[in-house]
Amino acid sequence: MKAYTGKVLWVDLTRGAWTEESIPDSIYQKYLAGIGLGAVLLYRDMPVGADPLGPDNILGFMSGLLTGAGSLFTGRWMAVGKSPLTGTWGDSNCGGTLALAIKQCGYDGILFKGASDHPVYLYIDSKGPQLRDASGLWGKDAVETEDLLIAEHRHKKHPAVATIGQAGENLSLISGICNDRGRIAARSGLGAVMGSKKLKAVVLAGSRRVGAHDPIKTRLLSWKCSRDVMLPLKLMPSRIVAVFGGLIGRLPVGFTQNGLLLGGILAKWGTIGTLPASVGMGDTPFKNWAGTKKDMPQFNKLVDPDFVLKTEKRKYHCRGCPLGCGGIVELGGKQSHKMEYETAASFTSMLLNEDLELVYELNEMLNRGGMDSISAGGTVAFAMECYEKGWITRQDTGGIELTWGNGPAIREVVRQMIAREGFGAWLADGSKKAAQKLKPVALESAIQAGGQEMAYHDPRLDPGMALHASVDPTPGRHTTGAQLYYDLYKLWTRVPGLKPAAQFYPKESRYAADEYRMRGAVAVSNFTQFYNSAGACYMGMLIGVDRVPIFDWANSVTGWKLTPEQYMQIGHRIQTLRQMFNVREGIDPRSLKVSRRLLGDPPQAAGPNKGVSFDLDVLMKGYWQEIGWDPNTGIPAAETLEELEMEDVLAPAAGRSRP
Amino acid sequence: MTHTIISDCTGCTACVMVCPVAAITGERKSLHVINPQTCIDCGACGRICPYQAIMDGRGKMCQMVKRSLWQQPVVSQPNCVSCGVCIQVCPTSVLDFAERVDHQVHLFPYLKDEKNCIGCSFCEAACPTAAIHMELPVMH
Repeated sequence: MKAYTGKVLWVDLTRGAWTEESIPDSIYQKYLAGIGLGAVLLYRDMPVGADPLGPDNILGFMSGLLTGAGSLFTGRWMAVGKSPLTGTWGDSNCGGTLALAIKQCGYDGILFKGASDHPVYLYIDSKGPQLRDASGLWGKDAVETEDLLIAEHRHKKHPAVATIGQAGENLSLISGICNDRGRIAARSGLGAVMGSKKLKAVVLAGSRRVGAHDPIKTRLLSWKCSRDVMLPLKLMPSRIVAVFGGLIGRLPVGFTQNGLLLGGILAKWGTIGTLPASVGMGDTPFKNWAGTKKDMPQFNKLVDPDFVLKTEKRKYHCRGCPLGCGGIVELGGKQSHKMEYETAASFTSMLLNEDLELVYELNEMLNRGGMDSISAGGTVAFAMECYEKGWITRQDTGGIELTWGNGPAIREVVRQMIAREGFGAWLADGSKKAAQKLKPVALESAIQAGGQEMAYHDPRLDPGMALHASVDPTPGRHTTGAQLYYDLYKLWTRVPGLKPAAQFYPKESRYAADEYRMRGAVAVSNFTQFYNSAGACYMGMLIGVDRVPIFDWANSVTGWKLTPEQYMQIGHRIQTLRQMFNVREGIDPRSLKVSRRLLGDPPQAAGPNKGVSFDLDVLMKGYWQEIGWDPNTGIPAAETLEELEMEDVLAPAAGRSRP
Repeated sequence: MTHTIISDCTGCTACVMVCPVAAITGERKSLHVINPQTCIDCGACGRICPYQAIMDGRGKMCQMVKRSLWQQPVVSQPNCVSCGVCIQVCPTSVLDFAERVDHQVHLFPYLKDEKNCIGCSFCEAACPTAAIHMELPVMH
């Protein structure tokens, strides 16, 4: 018995019909499940030039290869489709209960094509799939919808629900798909795709078993892993983390950090625990990427992870995670999910907002509305900069005083963005679209890559962030790679041919496009695609593959005998297929570059990244050269496609006529 | 080698009732047979047989244990990672994730159907983080 089910479900929303498709083993062996299988199916079935918000777009909910088989850190599901925000390949990753629920329905993925003319939701139980009317749910927020659907379908088994909020219904291009009352697959704007198909929710109540080829070995690996990744930091206050970050920021040399410490921080505080360190080392941006910590001198006191920890009522784990970085917090009698690092950064430092309690409220608003907090924060920051520069006035904002740090104004703008009304309607599609409507010069203030707001990790500190956000087929993402990730993944302990990271190195060496950095960047890309297909969490992987036996799990649950090198090649194949998707859509890979401000143009006058500027084009060329794509255009070279043996997927699609 | 029934069997059908995979067949009041292809070695038949007529896989005779003294799984929540493996391996489907209470979203497994638990301890053996241990049931 293998960990994958060998079939996917296709739902045609136009006709209201569904079919099952068997996937041959050869596809799993070459592309795994998750994002890889999604890329294969979308490349095969989506017509070229499909309107992302039209019936031709395909939206897939994919479960990982290892999900439910007894391995740890592998409870993630992925939404895949063509992104309406960037026009490129779009994917988004989320944890929670849905990943296992997809597999328990007997599928490795559920894919939707066509569009319904009235709101519907998909319900699957042991009797099979059925489309039901969702008119009564349309207009309700994600949490309300989930509660209503669970109350209706809670018979024998607790169902898992994925749903969109009002932002997705209003086709906001920065909307996402929620599950577990506010865990959200936010990036790439796939909530709008769901909204355009009039698909309100997916309710999964299957109860099939997920097997594993060698369950005993899988369990032994998990047992060992669960003990290897724990670093108790109970007594450590967040001030120590801040001091540690400040030290890294001030030292003239960089040094390789330990993933175990990161794991300990995540287990104690969650991702927000890294905020004090990030601010200290210059990783967290201030004032729409133009400011420094001097703009908010009291930052560490005002935005204190220990305060968030005090309000935490209980931990929240995704399925099969020993760390449990999530949490349920309660403030003022209202419960919500604990804010993540990105949400905290986007609504405090980026907007110079000093009110942390407001961020609790905004976090819950965005989770309920189903909007991406990274993009929402970046877009509000853009609007504030426009207001400061006089490009928009109080008349344009409908009387909102959009000055830096104005809490009530931020709350009102976010509310309007979710509801797509008034001034917020201008911002509901992200900063690039808003800038295009305003004036060409405003584009300089819209900090994004290919239309998607950059996540809050400063490329001037880690140029790998800018590189991966620009060369990856889904631009603007922070989870696709960085130099820091190469240090933390410790891939050289398992994959031959990779050079170990030096314990200490001069900071300037980060900006060089030398062989070590480029080979590392490509390895990170390939590994990312591999673990995304396996359904693994990138936070868990950051602890390091020497402690998290992801390659061994992949073998033990499938019965294959592949080496880590071969799994990395699978990652390479998936990365190339995603790029081929973009190339077929006619997207120039050079057009997905991050904004100039992130490259130190103009350089910062103060702070840990003072005076830093670097040439991204050299890094991009170096990356393309190393991964086997044309160094000048970013298009995968013919010999790379041949070497990766991708003709089974690429050839039939090329000759396929449009339906 | 799976569990087998020896000639002491009186055909009382107690084992037939308890077997979670319906591996035991035979007419009432005659010698019963365990299908080795179907048997999962849960040991429930050995614990229930009042005539000690069942031999386990290692050739040892099974002892009868009073049903109210069969051990049942207890989940230690701090160690549990909610991977769901225990629910999947349970041959009698008596484990399930707990119902959501209030705003709780992290759902832990619990013994939903105490009456039908056969005490096989498959869940304990399957748990990757050793969060399940078998205990004597608490009398209510």
